[in-house]
Amino acid sequence: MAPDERDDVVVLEGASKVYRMGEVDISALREVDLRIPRGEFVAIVGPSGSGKTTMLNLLGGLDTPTHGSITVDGTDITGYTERQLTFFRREKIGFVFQFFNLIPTLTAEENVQFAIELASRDGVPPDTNAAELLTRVGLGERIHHFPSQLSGGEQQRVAVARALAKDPVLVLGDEPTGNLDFRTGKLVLGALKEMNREGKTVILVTHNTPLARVADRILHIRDGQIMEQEIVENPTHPDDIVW
Amino acid sequence: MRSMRVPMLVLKTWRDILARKGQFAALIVLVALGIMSYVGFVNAYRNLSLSADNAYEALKMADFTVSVSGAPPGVVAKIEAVPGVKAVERRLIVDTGMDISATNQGTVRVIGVPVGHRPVVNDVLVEQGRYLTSTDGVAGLLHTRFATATGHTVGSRLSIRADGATIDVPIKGVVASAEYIFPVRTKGEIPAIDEFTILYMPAHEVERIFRMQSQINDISVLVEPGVDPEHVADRVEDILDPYTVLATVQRADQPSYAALGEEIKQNRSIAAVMPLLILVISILSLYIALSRLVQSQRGEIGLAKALGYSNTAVLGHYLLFSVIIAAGGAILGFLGGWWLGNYTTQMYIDLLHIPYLEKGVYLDVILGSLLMSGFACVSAGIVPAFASARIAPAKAMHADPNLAVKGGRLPLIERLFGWAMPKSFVFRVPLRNVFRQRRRSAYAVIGIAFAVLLTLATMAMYDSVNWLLDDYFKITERWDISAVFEQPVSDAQVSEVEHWEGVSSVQPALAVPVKLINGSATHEGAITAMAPEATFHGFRILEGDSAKTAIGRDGLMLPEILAKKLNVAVGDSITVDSPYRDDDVTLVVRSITDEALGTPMYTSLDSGAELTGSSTRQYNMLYLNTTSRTDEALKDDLYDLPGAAQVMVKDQVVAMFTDMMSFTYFFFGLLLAFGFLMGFVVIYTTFTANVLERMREIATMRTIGEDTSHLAVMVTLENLFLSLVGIPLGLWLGIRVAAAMMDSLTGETYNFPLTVYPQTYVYVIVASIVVVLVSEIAPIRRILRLDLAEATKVIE
Repeated sequence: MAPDERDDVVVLEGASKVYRMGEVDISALREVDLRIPRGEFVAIVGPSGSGKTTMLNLLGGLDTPTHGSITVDGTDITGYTERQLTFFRREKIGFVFQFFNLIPTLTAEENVQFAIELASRDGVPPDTNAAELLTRVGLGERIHHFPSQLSGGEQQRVAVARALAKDPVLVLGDEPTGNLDFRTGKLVLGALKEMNREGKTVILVTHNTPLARVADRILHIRDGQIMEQEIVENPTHPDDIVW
Repeated sequence: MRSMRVPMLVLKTWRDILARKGQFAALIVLVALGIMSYVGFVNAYRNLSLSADNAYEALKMADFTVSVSGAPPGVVAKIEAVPGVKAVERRLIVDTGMDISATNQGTVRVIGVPVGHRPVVNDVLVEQGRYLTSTDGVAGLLHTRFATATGHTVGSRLSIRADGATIDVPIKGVVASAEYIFPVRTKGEIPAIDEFTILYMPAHEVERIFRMQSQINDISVLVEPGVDPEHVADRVEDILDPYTVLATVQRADQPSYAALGEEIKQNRSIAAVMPLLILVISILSLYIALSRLVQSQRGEIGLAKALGYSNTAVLGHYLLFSVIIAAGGAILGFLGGWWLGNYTTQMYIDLLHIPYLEKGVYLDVILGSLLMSGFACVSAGIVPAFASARIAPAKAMHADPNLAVKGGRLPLIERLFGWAMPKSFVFRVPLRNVFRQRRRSAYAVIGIAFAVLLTLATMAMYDSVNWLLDDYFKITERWDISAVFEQPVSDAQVSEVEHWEGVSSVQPALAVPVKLINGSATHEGAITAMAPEATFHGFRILEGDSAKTAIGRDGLMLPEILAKKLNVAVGDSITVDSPYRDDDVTLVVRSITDEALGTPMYTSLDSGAELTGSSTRQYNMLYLNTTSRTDEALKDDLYDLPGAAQVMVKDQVVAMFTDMMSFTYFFFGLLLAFGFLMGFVVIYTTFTANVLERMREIATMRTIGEDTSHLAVMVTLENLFLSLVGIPLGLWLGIRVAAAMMDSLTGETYNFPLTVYPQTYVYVIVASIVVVLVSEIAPIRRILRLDLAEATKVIE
């Protein structure tokens, strides 16, 4: 397949992000070009302040680029308004945050159901239910528990189930294991890997290089630019990761 | 040279305040409003009380006065010799008619005063012009309130009736008087400022023009400090006995003194209850809001401890928060309260023309309010900070488990009625939040209830006063014109008036000044004698016979407040001392009545005649109901009848009453403003804290695709659900507080039933919902402006 005929879910062309901090302009991302085909697992690694989270925020519609364009699932979201971005996130993106970000007053099942209902609001309801999704991430017995009754790993798996709930085009994980211990971190990675196996495109931001090796491709970012792209011939199984 | 560095925690305090300046400003306003209200109202009451005392002291208000039918001036020497008497003033007092305008008449009380020197008792304060001199001849000093109301001034003339002639009295001065701060003749009377006044004239001129040479009929006495005036009065009465003692009035029963005393009592009741309530609510709300603020910084407390700051340093940091809020609020509150107290006092002084003004600074009030709010601020800062500081740093940096659902169990109501929950998350999430975040919900419900309580309690007082104006004068007082005469009105005159054009009915009555005695309990007032079928006054009987039966049995109808004061019940006999008889008369209490205004007592015309020592029925009052002709014209005709002392048209009575209540309205208006403002601030701080506590939750919802309009609807619905609990609770509490306040206002002058009109409930509910919705604006704007990327990464 020729490069322009590929089924790319993400296309970044000359994407830049400049933050104005008082009198000073800070370039968080500098003219980045990137294409991610559907179904790929991509890890973005780099030191703090390198621009990896900025890139994830642009891809997830949490922020807009200063220059360049961003196309996700064939839709150019570059000039989207806040309202359009809300619909975009609702339909296309599944987020998994470092701090889980579950709604404390809702049970595990209700947290997932919340995402399902959101996805159902403007179109066909996803062909899934919250209990099934939680069972898939190994929490079938804990669906009626509140976040305060779940461990960090369990909370993050609820977050993964929530991300899956709306059948997103793209799953974005921002340091999803950063707040977890080694064992539960691996469980969460396993869940993301499982999502990817089922055809979801997953982009994982991490500063942990061994962990990035679960991905099909690793993007090394520094000073807001992709310095190196590494194709991982044999991605590591999450159970085999050591960090 | 080493530069001075601000300690980091102090710097953090400052930065925290800047970062949350809206919330901090609201907390300072909360404290300031509480203190301002308390200091302002209590100061106003104290100022008023002191001003009145100053007037009584400076103008040598009599400790008691004795009225006689006529005595020689020389008798004063004997009274001066009574042990304990400090000073005595002899006076000749005559009530007569006056022309207010070409067509309008009124009553003037002419008081003869010395011209060689100022009165040694019951002096006057000359506000304009000068005091009378021996060369003035026929001249007068006019009471300031009448002069102000009718435009009289120094140099103008007042036409008075004397011995069948009209005399123009030139006004030499306009004066204020301690004994006529309320210009009334009898206790409980509503002041008719532009229809009744006091004119001080040289004593010898009063004797001359009224042909009462060498006579006095009023002896005013001041007693030495520490001497019992009642005891002295007994001795004076003995001396005056040969001259027919008509009445002895102690200072407490003096009409103006009693009326002002009632005002001060009301003022004290209002100052004691509502502002204190506002202060307490401000303190409770402050405690809740500040402790939530500190709780929200749990993570930072953990971090500070992890970095090595001691518990003391952390506590000191949060104490600084509290001290800044307490100090800011206290300074603003005290300055505002001091201004409010002085402004209110000035309003009162202007309205009542109290001759002396006292504006004090009361340390106990200031210290009391400062201590209360300071304690609240410090404890609100320290208690949650201390609780957080005791937790291990790592644990403190995690989310507060109190913010999550307690125990992990669904609330009972959800377990029972979860099936009935709406399907849509837009409804379900706010409803669940109400039940699952019980502490947060409780804070909001308390805040809303406080706001409703303050608004309803003050509006209920408004309604109760309005009831008096709207209903009392229609339902209870059923006459259109009343007339009081100083000489008996004959049956022929009653019949004549009945035939006047525009008169539909005339009901005669007789008012007799009496002293009711039951053991050591006494009450001085007037009994109205009337026919059993009379309808000019409507009764609400609490106990005993109907009016028709009670009057038909020659019994006494007594208001409940007097029955309690005199400790009598239906069927009891009571001794009635009349100035017209040497012996006492006994009447049987047949009914206990509920009277909203004053303490009117009623009996039959036969009993009235017995009290006056007459064998035939007599009248000195007429109650008219009118048809087509104007009341003003009838009033003028009534004044033309012999002995007419006061003619009142009901509309004018209502207007006078409204005028008398104007300060009460002003006071209530201020309280309402405070209550409403405080309610707004309480709800604002509550809702702002509600949103701030869940920024990340809201950001997460937005990130996963919830749009802002739905979030705004969710926040609004949650607040409205909370209002559904808070508003009824506030209404219930408001009624309780209003009832307690009305109880404290009840006395011999007013006995308002607590009235809350249905529309008031509607206003309060609508206003509360509007406040709830307006208070949401700022928090919702924060939701709209959230930086999602940042907010979703914040550690809670």
